[in-house]
Parts: sequence; C-alpha cells; structure tokens
Amino acid sequence: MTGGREHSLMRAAVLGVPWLWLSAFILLPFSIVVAISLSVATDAQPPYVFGPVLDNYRLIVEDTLYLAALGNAIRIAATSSVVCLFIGYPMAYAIARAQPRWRGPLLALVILPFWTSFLIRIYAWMTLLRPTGLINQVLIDLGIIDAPLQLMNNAFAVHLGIIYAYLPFMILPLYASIERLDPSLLEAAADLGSRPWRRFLSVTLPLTLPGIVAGTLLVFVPAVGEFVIPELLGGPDTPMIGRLLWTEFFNNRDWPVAASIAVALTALLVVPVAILQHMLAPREEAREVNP
Amino acid sequence: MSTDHRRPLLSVESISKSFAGIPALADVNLQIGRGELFALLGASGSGKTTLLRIIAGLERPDSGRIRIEGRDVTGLPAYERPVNTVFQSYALFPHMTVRGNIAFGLKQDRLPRETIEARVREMLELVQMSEYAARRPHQLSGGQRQRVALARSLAKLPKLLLLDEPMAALDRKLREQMRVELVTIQKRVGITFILVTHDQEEALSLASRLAVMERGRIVQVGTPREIYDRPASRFVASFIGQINLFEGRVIERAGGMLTIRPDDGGPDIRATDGAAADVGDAVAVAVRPEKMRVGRAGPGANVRRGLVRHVEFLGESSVVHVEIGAGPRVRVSVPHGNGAAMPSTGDIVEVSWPAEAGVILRN
Repeated sequence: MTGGREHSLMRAAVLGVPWLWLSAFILLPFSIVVAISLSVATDAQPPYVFGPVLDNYRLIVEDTLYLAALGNAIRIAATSSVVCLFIGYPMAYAIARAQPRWRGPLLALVILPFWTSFLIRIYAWMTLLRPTGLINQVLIDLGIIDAPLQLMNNAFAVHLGIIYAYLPFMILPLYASIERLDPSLLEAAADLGSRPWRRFLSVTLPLTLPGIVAGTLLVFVPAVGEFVIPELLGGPDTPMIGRLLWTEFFNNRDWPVAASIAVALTALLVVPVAILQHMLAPREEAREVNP
Repeated sequence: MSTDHRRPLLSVESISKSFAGIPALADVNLQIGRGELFALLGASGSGKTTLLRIIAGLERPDSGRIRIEGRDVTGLPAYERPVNTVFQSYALFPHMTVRGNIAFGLKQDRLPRETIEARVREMLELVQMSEYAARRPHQLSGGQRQRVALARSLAKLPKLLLLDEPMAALDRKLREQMRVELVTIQKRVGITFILVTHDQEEALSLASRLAVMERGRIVQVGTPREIYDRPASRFVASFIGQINLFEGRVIERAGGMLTIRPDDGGPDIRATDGAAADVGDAVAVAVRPEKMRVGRAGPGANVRRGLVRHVEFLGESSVVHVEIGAGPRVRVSVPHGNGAAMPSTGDIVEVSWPAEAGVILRN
C-alpha cells in the first residue's frame, strides 16, 4: 500500500513540529545560557568569553548571598503556594459545584485579571499599599490609625503580591480536577457512613491530588524565580533569587554568574517536578478508565 | 423468608417530592417486611430512583416520613442510616483496592482491625472475589465491579440494602447469571433488599414482592404472580408482559359473570367478575397471550375469528398475531412440541379463551 509510507511521513511531520518548536525555543536558548554560565565575564561586547570554567557555579555555592536569596525565595514561594492552596481550593470547589450555567462566568472572573498587564496590576497594588496609598488614607480618615502603616517594601507585600498574582494558576487546575470528581463517589461514601469532613479527607482530597500538585507547582515554580514582585513591592529584607539574577545581569553586567544562577535554578526546580509527575502518572490513568 | 407485615422493616408514609416544581413522587405509601427482596418497577421518570434515594437519605422528601423498624429516620443524613446502597454506576473508589473499598464502611465505624479484616475476607468469599482483593476497580470487568459494589454495601450488615438498577451495565448473559446469584446471596445474608429496575423480567424473576410505579405514584403492589395475573390497571397490564385488550361496555352482570359488548362490534365477551364493574361501565378485558389458544376451546369459551398476519418464532413457543375484523390485533402464544399444528400467515383461524382468563380493567 502506498498509504503506509505517506502515513509514516505524516506521523513524522506531526511529531516533528513540536520537536522543532521545543528545539528552537527551549533547547537552543537554554544551551546558550548553559554555555554562558561556563564562561568568564569581561568588559566587552558581549560581556563574556567562553571558558569552559566552573568558577561561576563555585561562586554561587560558596558566596552565602546566593544561597540565602535562594532559601528566602523558596520560603516565600512555599508560603505563598500554601496560602494560595487554602484560598484556591474552596474557591475551585465552589465553582466546580455551582450550577453549570454559573461555572463559565465564575471561571471568567478568575481569568479576568489576565486581561490587564501583570506589571500594571502590581503598580496598582503599590498605589494601594504605599504610605500615602488608598488603604492607609482610608484607615487614617476613619481614625483607626494615626500614622500610616508600613504595608510596602517588606515580606508581607511580597507574599501578598505573589498570592494575588498566582492565585488563578492554583484555581484552574484545582477546578479541573474537582469538576471531574464523580459526585456519586461522595454519595457512596456518605451512604457507607462517612461524615462530611472524613468524606473530604478520604475521597475528595486523594482524588483531587493531581490538581493540588499541578496548582502548587504552577504557583511555586514561577514564584521562586519571581523578580518583578520583590523588586516593586519588596524591601531590603526580601532578597529573592530572581531579583538577584536580574541584578547580576543588568546592574553588574555579570552574564556568566546570572546564567549559572538560571541554570542552577532550572535544575533545582525541574528535577523534583519530573519526579512528582512520574509518581502521579499511574493515578491519572486509573481515574480515566474507571466508569 | 419471613414477611412480617404487622411490623414492617421499612415504612414509607405519604412521601412527596418535587424537583423545581415538577413532582417526582406524589403521596407514596409502602411497607416492606423483613427479609423481602422487593422490586420497585417503573419506566424512567416514574420516580423509583427518587424513592430509593429518599430511603437512602441522599434526598430529602418535601413531606412524609420514612421509618425503619418503627424509628423515624426522615431527618437522619445518609451516614447515620442503617441502609446501604449499590449504585447504578457502582461508584467504587478508584484510588482504593477492592479490599480498601469493602473495608471503607467498616472503617467509618472505627471497628477493630481484626474485625474489619475478618469481615472483608468473609465478604470477598461471599461474592467470590477473594483473588481480586488487591486489584483496583479499573482492573476489573463490569461483573466483577458489581460484585465488589455488592460486597462493599453488605459489609456493614445493613438492615436494608438498596440496589439501583444493579444489572443495567451488564450484558444479557451476565445479567441472568447475576440474577440467580443475587437471590442466592440475599437468602444467605438474610438482609432485606430493595431493587430498582425498569426491566419487568428482572422484577418478576427476582422479587418476592414488587411495586409498579407510574408518574410518581405506586399503582400496584403484590407478588409477581398477583401482578401478572391480576393487573390492577391498563398501565400495569401493558407494562408487565404482553397482553391483549378488548375495549367494551358491561351489558350484563349475573352470577359472578360479566357480559361485555366489545366496541369493535364482535360477539359479546364473557368474563368472571374480578373487579367491581356495573352494567354500563366502560371496561377493557385483558387476556394474556398464553391464556388464549388457536382453535375452539371448551363450551362457554369466548371465540373470535381472524386472519393470521404474522407468526413470530421465539424458541420454546411462537406468537401468532391475529387480526380480528376491524378490532384489535391479538397475540396468541402457541407452545411448540405438543403436536398442535402451527398456523401460518394468511390462515383464517379461530381464537378462544375461557371466561376465567379475562381480567376486567376499569379506566
């Protein structure tokens, strides 16, 4: 049959397009970043000379500044992810269990902030939080406080900004997994004597775990590398690794160190994510086969 | 099987329920005794599943009471009722093994571990699934899933087991096998079963008693035999099995015998007086196909003459479709193997049935 060859050509083309895409826009750029991370910084254009040397990696491991910033970023991202989960889960649950005609509009409201630029939304928070901002003005006018509260340029504002900005990324995967949960499983649990809270722990939670993991990763991973929010809302007490990377790159013009931070951060985040995905894969499969 | 009607296990009292203003159940009353295998039979939308869910506590009635052993459980949530359910989709927990599924209900009661293990083992044996204890639901066939669902809901030894269309997802052959098994298991555990089904064959073959439901009401309750032989209404008569109806008017009533003049202009029909019908009433005479015969019956039998339109071969018997004048087309079941000649399409035949075979149905 002539169709056989055509078929395999088609297959190659269909599989080839995403491969080409990934190669051109992920593999190639990342290889360049890896190459720069192995280079030596110079005062030239471009500001580096290929080594290959491991000096930059040695620097970011030995200088406590970087590890401290990484630790701080992980802590802030982890706290924000947990808060997002606790806010996002009830919201996702309520949307998934709302009348079908309400689900679309409610989801649209979750996505609505994306219609405005991320940067503008963070600036908007600045106008709310700064000493002369709306929140402080209202509180002073009401006589609740005498002097403006320090709401900005601290860890609180960074957490607030990250939680605000990333909450939709938590809600959407949670919604998807809660919405797929067969309500008759909860009825069966109730029928077998399970009280609402135990029903949630023994049925809802384990079956929506893929959504919890996906949502947490979608918040945690970009939050660790976040630099706009700590730059605009943070203060000197909130060094984050993404902000440091940005400083190395633009302020210090030390591309190799910036690149090595980027590579190290990627490795640090990709490996655990890959392991988690591998662990959760069979669970996903099991859900789909079940009637 | 002891059926104690004086103190029923389950008593459904004046239950009404509507969804968004559309009535699903209207003033339903029902009493079910201990050890019964009771079927709720009805077409989809008849309210049978709603009634089951109200008994389970998964739905609240608008009015009325549910009592179990005399105790009012109307206000109790599902998790506090001594009732367990086999769901139509089985609703097995996909993230648990067969063993985990069966143990689930027992764990809710915080029973000692040894008790749970022993009960799970016992249930696995009961449904012959011991070898599959470590499997997950998605690794099981439809029939195996059903067994697990049955074991899971029997494990708590409920006072009442509810089964919502338990055979609907199975193929025909498996369904017949599971019917026999279900009856065997029910006898062994001695628990009262209430089964919801739209399949009249299933209801008739399984149930010790059944209720026929139509548009949110129970239209007849009785043993399969009573309901088959003495349907209380046209609906029941036509819903359960095949039946021939002769519409007419009572013209005489004498000595326990009614004479009905059929609307189709044929000769008068004689029927023994089952239902209370007076002269002048519009009634239908209902006759089961197997109670009719081709050819002339004994003296006093009703006889109609007609044209054979079609002969339907069904294995152990054939159904002869006979067109009677301007009247209805009747079906006569003719068993094979008794040496009688089978009429063929185009024959002019006589169809007869004794007066006792006709059931009088009022509107």
